[in-house]
Amino acid sequence: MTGLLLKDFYSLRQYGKTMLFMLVFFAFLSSGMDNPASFFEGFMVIMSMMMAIYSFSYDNLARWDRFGLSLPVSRTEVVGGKYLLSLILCLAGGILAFILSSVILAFRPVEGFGLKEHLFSLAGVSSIGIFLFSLLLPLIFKFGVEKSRLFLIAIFAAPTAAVISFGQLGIELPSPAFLLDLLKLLPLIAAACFILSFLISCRIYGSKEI
Amino acid sequence: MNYRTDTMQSSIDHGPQHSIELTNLSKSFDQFQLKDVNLTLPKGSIMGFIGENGAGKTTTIKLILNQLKADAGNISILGFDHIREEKKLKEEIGVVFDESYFHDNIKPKHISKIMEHIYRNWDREMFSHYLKAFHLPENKIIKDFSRGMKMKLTLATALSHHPKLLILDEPTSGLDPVIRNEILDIFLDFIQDEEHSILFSSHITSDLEKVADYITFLHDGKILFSESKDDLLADYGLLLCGSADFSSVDKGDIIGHRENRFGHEMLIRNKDKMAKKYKGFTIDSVTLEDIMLFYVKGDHLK
Repeated sequence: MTGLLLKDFYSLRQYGKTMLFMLVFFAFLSSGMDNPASFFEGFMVIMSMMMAIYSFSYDNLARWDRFGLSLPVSRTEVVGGKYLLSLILCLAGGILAFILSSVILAFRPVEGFGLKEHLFSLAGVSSIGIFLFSLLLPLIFKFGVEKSRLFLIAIFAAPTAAVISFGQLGIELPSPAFLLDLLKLLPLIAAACFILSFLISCRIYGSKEI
Repeated sequence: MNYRTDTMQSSIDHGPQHSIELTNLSKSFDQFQLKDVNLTLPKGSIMGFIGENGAGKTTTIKLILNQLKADAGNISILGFDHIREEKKLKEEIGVVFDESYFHDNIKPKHISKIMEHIYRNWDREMFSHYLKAFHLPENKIIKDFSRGMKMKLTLATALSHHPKLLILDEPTSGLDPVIRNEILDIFLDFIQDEEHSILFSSHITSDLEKVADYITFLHDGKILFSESKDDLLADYGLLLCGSADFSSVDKGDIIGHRENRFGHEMLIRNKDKMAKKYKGFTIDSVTLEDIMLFYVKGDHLK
């Protein structure tokens, strides 16, 4: 599996450089916001995880799957490699954004937003990223990355659409206290979804004919 | 398959005597069926795998590599079960397809690092040696490589973990004769070790005439023959005659027939016997391409 991860990192390194540039750019942009941390970190986590999707696209472009499955790697390792890549990118994006926003916060502190709240916010956005990818990865293994682009839009747009339509339909949104409790549970929910999603993807890819 | 008996006797106590043994292999798709494919590749030899596009060559290779699941039949590669012992088996084989499957933006030196973590037997020095021998730059992205360079890179990768079996799916297609010859020489070199063998699928029958020991001909999902190349070329012939003599030819002797403005051309077997039967007729030697064309495109008069 290390070999497969290396393959993804080598092929993504050009894109990674663009990401570093974006990191600095958005750090600068978000420094003008009321709270620079949550937007910036959320954005960076999602953008970093998008690199995992690019790795599927690169594989697709090179038609890697057929060659990859002629190597001594099991299908579980192929799936595991992509899940691990998503996780590493999520953590890397989150931690880098955390460091940069901590620097910004040091110069321009936000009242009531200390280290504890900052870590809490980082855990929240990372969990949301992991949760969204838990939905997306099995779809990519099932339908391929090109067809899954539509799912990607749907998955990202669905929560926003739900909030807006709830408001319009007069359905009361959950109270902030409830949301805060939910946020505490979010890392656990995300971890459980991620594991379940991995098992589903293994099943899908295990029986796939290349 | 007349070669089976002599290879079986020679290696009773030396593990499996065949690199590939396919028994009654079948696989159905909506539009196509691979039916009862039997194929045996003895160690120390090169098997040419021929057939028109869509005949089922790539399907067979995908079944061997467990990329497709067979509906029926048995596959044994180097004595391993191709599903239960898939990883062990894949350590021992090198695969080259008709194009490079490496990402455009990586470099040969990266491939070595990747493969080091994939193959237990990866030989970094051997890979560097091949890169030098093939004049491939270590530090240039693959996007800038020509098709010939990409194929050589794939070949270097397939050879650098000391495989015992090479599975090649159209590795020389689209390459110029000079590069093709270089690659064929590498195959001949590889086969010097008696434990090594090659399954070589190709449209370029002249390549196979140069290197193959056996030829398996797949047509429309079925194996038409799997025989020693020398026997095939000695056995088959082209019977030539004018229109007047054509009616005297026993149609049961004709495998395939073609008429042109000079007369009739017929693919026949038992060349020596036929020479006696049809005195005064010309019988030419055949190439693998003739055999393939007459089977696939010729008129079948029976």
